[in-house]
Amino acid sequence: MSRLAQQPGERIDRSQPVSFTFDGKPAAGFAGDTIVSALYAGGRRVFSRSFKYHRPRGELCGCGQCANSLFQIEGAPGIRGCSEPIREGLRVVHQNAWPSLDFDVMRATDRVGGPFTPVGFYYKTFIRPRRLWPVYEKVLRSAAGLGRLPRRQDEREWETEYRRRRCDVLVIGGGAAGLAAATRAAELGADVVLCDEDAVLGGLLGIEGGHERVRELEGRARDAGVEILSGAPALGFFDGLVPVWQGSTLHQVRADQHVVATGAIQQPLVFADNDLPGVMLSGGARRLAAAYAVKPGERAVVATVDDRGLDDALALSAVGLDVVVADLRPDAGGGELAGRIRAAGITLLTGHTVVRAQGRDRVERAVVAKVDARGRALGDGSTHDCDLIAVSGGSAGALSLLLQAGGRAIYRPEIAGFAVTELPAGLHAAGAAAGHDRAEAVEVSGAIAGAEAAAALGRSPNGVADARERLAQLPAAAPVATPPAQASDGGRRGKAFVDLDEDVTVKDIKRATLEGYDSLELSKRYTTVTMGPSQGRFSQLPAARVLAAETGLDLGTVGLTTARPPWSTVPMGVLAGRPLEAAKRSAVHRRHEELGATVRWAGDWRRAYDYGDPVGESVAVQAAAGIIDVSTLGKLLVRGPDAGELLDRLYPNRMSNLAPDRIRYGVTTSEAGRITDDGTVCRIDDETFYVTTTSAGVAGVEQSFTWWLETWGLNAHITDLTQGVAAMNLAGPQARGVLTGLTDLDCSAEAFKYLDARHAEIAGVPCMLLRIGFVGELGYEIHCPSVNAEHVWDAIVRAGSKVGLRPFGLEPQRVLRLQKLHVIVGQDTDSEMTPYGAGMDWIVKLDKQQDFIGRWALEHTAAHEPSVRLVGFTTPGGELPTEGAVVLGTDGAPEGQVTSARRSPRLGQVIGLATVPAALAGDGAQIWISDAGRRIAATVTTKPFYDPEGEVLRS
Amino acid sequence: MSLAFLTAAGGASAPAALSPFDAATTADGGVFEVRDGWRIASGFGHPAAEEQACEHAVGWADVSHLGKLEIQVSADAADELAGLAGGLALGRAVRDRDAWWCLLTPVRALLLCDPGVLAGLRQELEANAALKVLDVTSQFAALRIGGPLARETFARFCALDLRPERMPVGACMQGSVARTPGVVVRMATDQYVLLTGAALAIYLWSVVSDAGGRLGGRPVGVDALSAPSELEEAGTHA
Amino acid sequence: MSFLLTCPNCGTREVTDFGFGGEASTRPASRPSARELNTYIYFRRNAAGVQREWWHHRSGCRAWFLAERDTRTNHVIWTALPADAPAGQTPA
Ligand SMILES: [Zn+2]
Repeated sequence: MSRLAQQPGERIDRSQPVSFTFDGKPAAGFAGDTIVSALYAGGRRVFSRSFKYHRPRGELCGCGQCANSLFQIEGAPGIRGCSEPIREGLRVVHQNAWPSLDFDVMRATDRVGGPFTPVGFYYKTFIRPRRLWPVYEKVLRSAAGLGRLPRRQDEREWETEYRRRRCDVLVIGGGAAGLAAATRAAELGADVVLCDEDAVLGGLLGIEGGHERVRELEGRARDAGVEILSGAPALGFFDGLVPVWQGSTLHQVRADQHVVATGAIQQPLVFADNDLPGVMLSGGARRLAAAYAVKPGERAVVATVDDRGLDDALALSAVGLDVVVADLRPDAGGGELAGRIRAAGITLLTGHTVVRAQGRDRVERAVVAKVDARGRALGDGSTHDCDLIAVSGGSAGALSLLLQAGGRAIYRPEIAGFAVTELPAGLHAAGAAAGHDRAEAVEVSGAIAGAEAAAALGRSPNGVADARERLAQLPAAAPVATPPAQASDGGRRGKAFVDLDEDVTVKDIKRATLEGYDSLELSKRYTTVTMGPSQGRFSQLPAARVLAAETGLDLGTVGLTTARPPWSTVPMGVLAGRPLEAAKRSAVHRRHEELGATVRWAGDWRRAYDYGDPVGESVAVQAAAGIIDVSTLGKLLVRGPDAGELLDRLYPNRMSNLAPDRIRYGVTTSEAGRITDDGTVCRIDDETFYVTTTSAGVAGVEQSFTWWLETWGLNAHITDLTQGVAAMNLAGPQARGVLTGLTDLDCSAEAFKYLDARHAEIAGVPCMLLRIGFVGELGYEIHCPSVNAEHVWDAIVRAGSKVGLRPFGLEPQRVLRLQKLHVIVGQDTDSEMTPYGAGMDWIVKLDKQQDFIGRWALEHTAAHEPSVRLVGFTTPGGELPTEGAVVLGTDGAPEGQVTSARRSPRLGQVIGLATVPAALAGDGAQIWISDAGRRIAATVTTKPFYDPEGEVLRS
Repeated sequence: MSLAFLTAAGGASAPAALSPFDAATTADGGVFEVRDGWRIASGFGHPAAEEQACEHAVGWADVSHLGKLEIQVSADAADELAGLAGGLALGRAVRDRDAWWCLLTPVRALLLCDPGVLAGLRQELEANAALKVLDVTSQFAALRIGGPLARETFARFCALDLRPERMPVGACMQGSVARTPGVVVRMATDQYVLLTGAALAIYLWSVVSDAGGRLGGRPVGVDALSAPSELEEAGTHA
Repeated sequence: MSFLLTCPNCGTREVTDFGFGGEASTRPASRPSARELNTYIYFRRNAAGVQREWWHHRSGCRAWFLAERDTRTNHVIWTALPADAPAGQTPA
């Protein structure tokens, strides 16, 4: 393993060797190394295979921005090797190559050549016949793709937590500009958070020899109280909320002011075989040397269009590389740097660029030539032996977050790129993202942005005008040459890539343009250019240039595509947060668990479906007694002088004439006359009603009731008591006896009639008893304070055990209520069901004086026969249809469906509810149910199967 | 008929009221005693560690036994409501007569009090015909969360802006907490009371334990956090 | 969508605190014709721009209030309890 001598500001700790494995083979590095820097130091040059053609790919950016070195680390695919630190024992595996990274059989798609996979190939080829798509998909997914998701759930655990952070100022980017901005704002008294995706702050300054200055700036920021999050990319801008991912924490930062100092991204150049391993951004090569003391090559050709490339060339030369520079600018910028290049004895070819990379699977030679404005080589050029082509195709400001936050991008020819303008209030740009490129200007612009952010918060910064003055007087950036859409030597072989992530070539964009995809947004969708993991960082500008050249438009008109969040790759598991579900539990829940209940979700509640014996439980209810926890029922208290009036307007039936201590069933409907919920209404006194709703419906009912209350301006209050009041239903022939033993209340049939409500103490606890019976037996719904619910439950179970009482769950309850044809809203009704369709014509009181919700629609409905009606049915043959099975009309077309079906132990037959065509809704009608290939004969009934006259219920 | 069934059983022979956290505090090794008719966790068997947590990290105590009253008025009686306890205001928790008075809307207030004074306050308020008073004690689970990392703990499960300038001592804030409606009262620099629906107590306990546990916190007995709050000391002017 | 919304009672909260109540519309004062009823029940303006709409502070004080919001940018112009809402034309 070879390393350079100690580099000033290097990140590695040579006293701490780290061992890990790559594709099962041992690899080594130092603490502070990334996967790529360690492997590169060990001699590896191929880090991935490309998406489509499986071409070998080397490192490109060196800083976690490109998709050239994505790896699989244990359960996680798509990990960026050039930013992910190595750890002892880490197991790193390559992606998207078989059988190995160095020999990939799928490379044939590349070698056999273009005709096989032209742009749009997949769209055009696999669209027909549609039924074969699943087959195609399987093959394509294994051939393409970037990694493998773990199959087993337990391999997917992510220990991520959310942390909300409110602050005055969020600074995104911890380079010189960001640090200066954060420090300035914090020194002015703002609460500041700064985040940077790199593990080490400093940005470009730290790599370009300014590590001492970085240390100073960082120290000042910390002293000023800035909260610094490093190794923490900002993922996007969501209406002011910025998620910042840092290891096991997702910070959800909400700031009043944002300073975006995300720097600039060095751009590649487009020429034939510009993806050969060994073609690297000059900044990436320099970074390998400066941060990790890794020599990026022996002989380098540096191709540049700007001063940054020259500066990088000097740095590469300084660490011992043999360097030749090809600068596209006729005068190499005409500045001091060109002089220093020459003084260092480096060959400088002005007006030249690289037109082709050559080599088998890695760079061996570069062809350098003078080119015209369209990129065509003038003459044959010269060939240079080299193992590194370091390119600097200009800088593109990292504008995505600014654009997501509402900024607008405009093209500026003098920087050969886009700049952002029209920043919305509260958004500030600084440093290279704001178009500054010299170190001093970057830092000053940061300090100004920090002061402006503080000023927007009401602080009074001094010296902002002076700083602006100073910034204006700093020397302008050196001119940048606009690189051609493609530099070409006219040779016919080789691919020139505009997008390495997606394997999109110049030819692909041209072809797409010919096929009519002549705007960037269309081209993006057709060719998938800019849609890869690096989010267009390196392909936006090159793609726009090709399109501009093809269409004759200028770059400003071609524009940029929208880079959507996330700006940095993030595992889905990180976004999923903690695995805790907001489950509601009844106050008796512990007892259900002790009884071994089958607990399932019912809406947002955890409920006992049964206690292991649903048949036995339902039999016990009918033979003796049972108790079911119905605490999930919604419970609303409606109080006030206008309470009765309010309910009259909310229910289709009358509630205001209900006598105190009496109960009435009601359904609520929408303005369209559709059933929205049901429950009981109990009058407690003149001004007080106790309303129950379905378990799932209470939130919606409360919202709707309060909205109408507000709209009508009635004098009443609504309080949701659902969670504070427990409820249990004691039912069965022995229910009265059980209850009588627990209370002083006269429970006789004469004193406590069906649909009566009574107050009583049960086992010393104040309760309200409602004599109603969803399950069809003599029954009492007992409502009590939830804090006493266990005590009441225990007392009833203890008293009832002598007569055979059993707790019963939701499943036996469903069978029992089906025997009575009691409807469950949401199960037996859908969003189109009216009270008429549900066979509840009697509940709609159109003779009522008041207007009520749904009245107009129901008047209309009443005048027309509903197309389907909800009725009961039995299957004489004993088949149990699936819920949702289709009910056929007289002509055999599907016209209704089975909404509930069960085998009733008591009746010894299959019973159910179904919507059937009105013509077949009469007693005794024969219907056909089509159920996954079965045809089941059924007989319609409109009367309850059990206790049709309600004698048991009233007994 | 009456609304008596909303108030927990009282009297000498009445069963002890169980906090909605009871299953969770029991599972976490709570040591219980009966106080004011409630079974209350007075500790979790590690007094030193509990004290440490409150002093250096975060502790959370079940205080669901605190009495809670809802007061509602009609729109024309809003002034009557705002005039209670020497003056109520939206977003404030006013300390008066061993209770915190929180005006939640111009026509609705929530009172949080020691169990011993619940009945008396209720009687007094009910004497005013303009006020509709309801005992909602059972409706809410209540946690007292305290310690230097209390605010950081909240940040792990709620987006409420609890920065001191927005949430000074004596402030009351309603909003989503752990994805469920919540009410937070800041009683002292590092002390908060959190109310959520009773049925969500077990879930909430797991959320707070998950967040607080990662920050070095732990469940503590009901008295661990009951050092006199600044609010109590400062009276209604907090 | 993660903008902030200010409840007139509670103050500023994440939008996830609230339930969306749809465009403000008016219930016909008297029995509508079939066509009017249909329009009232099923038709919305769905404006791309500023609209007046209902919000419910579901996770907080449970009050309903009105807001004017630009549906293109999620910029909220004002929020107010119905009694305090600025007079303005409520789309039918
Ligand atoms: Zn509110």
